[in-house]
Amino acid sequence: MQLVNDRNFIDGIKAFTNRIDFYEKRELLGNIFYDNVGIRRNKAALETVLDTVRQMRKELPFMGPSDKSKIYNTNLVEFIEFGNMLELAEIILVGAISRNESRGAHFRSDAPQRNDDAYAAHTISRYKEGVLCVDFIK
Amino acid sequence: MKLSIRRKTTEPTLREEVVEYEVDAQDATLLEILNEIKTTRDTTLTFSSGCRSSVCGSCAVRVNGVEKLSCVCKPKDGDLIEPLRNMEVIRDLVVDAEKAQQFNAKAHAWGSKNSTNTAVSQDDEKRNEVQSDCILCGSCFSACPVYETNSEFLGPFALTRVWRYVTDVREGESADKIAAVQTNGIWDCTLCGECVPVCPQGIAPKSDIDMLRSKSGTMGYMDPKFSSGFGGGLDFGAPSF
Repeated sequence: MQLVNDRNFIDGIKAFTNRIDFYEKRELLGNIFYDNVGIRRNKAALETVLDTVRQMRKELPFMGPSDKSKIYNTNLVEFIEFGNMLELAEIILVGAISRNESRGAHFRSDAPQRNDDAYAAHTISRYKEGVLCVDFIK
Repeated sequence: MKLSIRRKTTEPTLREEVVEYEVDAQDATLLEILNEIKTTRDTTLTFSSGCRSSVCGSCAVRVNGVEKLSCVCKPKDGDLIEPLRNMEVIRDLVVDAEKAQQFNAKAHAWGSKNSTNTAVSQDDEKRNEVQSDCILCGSCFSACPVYETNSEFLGPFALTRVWRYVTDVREGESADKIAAVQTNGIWDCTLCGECVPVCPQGIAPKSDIDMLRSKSGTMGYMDPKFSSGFGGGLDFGAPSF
């Protein structure tokens, strides 16, 4: 399934329009993560970043590599990596938003206490009918 | 400041050119500048990099003819950036290091059978500590002039690695390694020392090759230039009989 998705994504890149510069978006992603998704985070800021990341994922077909070479195309590699980065970014954010407590390097300023009853568990992320969900499995 | 980059592409047809870029680089490393050019001006500029902290060895290039890691090198106005030598250029600053790295295998540069003594003291560790730091960046390989005459020379990093294993107290097959470096190996080196200053890890392949020569001598090997007789390669002016 993952292989099929990846192949479709790479085939699809040929049709991507490259109207939006993905390097600018990558820089933006780094900056908003640095500012809002560091050790100290809060729900409102995380949700704002999640909106931005989801918007970027929607815009992905309007980005794309401008280098069309088939030889050592690092522009293409970096674009594929950016797509993966956005997918991971969304998983990190949904996990952090769902975990309404503070634990280790996840410090939620709006929920500073540890809550073992609800969250002494592994976060399991998966897509259910195309929607990213997290479960806490003890 | 101005920076010139030697570029090469084979697509759609072979094109080689030196392209000049005007860059604003306040205390920036060469890799940061290359990234800046790639992400803001020319996405086709091709170079390789990895860790950005001189650990991985994937970003070596030549700056004004001298091998440097672009992640630590801070270029000056007018510098010329070129790909490494002695390896085929794939595109722009990216070279194909496969042939170079195969010399490690040809030189038997690996740990083989354990000797009966597997206890390693701190002094034993120190003996090949420096050689163990090689990051395979290829700088010494690029600087080596022997490749102009012998493309099969095992080369500085592979020979350093052989010395690293020959001096390892746990190594049980040192003799096999010494035998593997006799042809196209230690005796083909000119001991010019070009490989020494370019190593970002402070390794001196020339010294290691010299040590391998001494070790070979004690094991009964000798420089083939001498063994072919004084009437052969060298002429000291003495009459030959």
